[in-house]
Amino acid sequence: MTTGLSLDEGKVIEGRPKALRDKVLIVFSNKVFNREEILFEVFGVEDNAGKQVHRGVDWTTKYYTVTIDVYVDSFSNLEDWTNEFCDPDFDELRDVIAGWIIVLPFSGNIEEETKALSRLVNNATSEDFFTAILATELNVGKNERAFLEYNVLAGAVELVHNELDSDGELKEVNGVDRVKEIIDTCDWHPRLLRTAHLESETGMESACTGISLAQIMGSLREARTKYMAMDPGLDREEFANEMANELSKLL
Amino acid sequence: MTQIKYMLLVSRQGKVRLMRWYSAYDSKGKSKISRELATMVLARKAKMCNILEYQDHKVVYKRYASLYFICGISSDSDNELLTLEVIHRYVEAMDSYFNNVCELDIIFNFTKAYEILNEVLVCDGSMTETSKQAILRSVMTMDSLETSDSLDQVLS
Repeated sequence: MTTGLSLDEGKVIEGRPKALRDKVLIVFSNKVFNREEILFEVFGVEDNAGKQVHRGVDWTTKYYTVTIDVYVDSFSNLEDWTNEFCDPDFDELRDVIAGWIIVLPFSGNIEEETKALSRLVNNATSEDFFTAILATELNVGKNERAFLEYNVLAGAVELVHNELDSDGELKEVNGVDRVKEIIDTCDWHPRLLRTAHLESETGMESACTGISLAQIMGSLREARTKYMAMDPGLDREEFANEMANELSKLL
Repeated sequence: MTQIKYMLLVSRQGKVRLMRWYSAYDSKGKSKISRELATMVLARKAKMCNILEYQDHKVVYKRYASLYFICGISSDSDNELLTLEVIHRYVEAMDSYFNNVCELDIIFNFTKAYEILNEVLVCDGSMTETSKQAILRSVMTMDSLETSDSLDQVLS
């Protein structure tokens, strides 16, 4: 029987509290030769002598910043890696990752890759984390490609490739940019998020305006004094609106 | 005239970002529809038809960047092409409001996304406003009222 609350304000799973998902797993095929480049483009980290864990990487969007750990792995055989990753021994890892990204080229006969990825889609996907496959090359027959796309897309695993559906009307981003977008829209736990609003609450300066909370509160007090001194009427309302707009820009 | 039964916004990752129901469905029915449609629509390729039959009605969807806009319409009385136009109008209005809207804008400003949708479609699912300017004007007016109300609260 499970009792009590976990750290995640949810249930305790099998006697251990549910951890915050603040790790991103990126896995490279040995056939990917620009691994350093991809790692740097996506996370801004350098692949120093095959370093496997990059801690404290800040991921920043226009709405929030989150500090994550980037786990880097590689494989020579996708099926072996998939079997290992889907193994119950790796439950703990799957419980803490915010998402996984597999980087590999597809060329020639991809039957084995498709089979391995289907297994991954069925066993290692969840609503709790994002999943993406970054294809550095997609040089396969129409049928193989359709089968692969159907298998992974139905499991909400995105197949990202530079050449895929580059339709201007859709305003779609592809390749590494799409991978970054996927990470941007990940459902981070609120406790991991640092928003501009929270930063201003703690007295930090706003990145956009450079104005501190103390200055904003000062302006607000001045506005209030002036507002109270004015006669009720249209002028006072207009002043209130003006100040509201001005202050909302600062906030 | 077209009357939409529901509108869903689903990301390519299969997450429902927004949903509005214009016909009566119980919560079980709603979750069944959103789950099944997300899977069905995501598995469709870009060149496939944007109209499909589902349960007793039709579903019209359109993909914009990483988001799928999915609408359920009546099989016999509603116009599929008009529904695509309604979706496009909504996207255009959001695009203007957010200045090049992206999924992140909708996640962090979902109330605005709903407000814009309320200006486009009324509660029975029919289109209430076609002018983008009029839609934006209404939303901006609401914004300024909200800001002024917040300030009034602080000042009082």
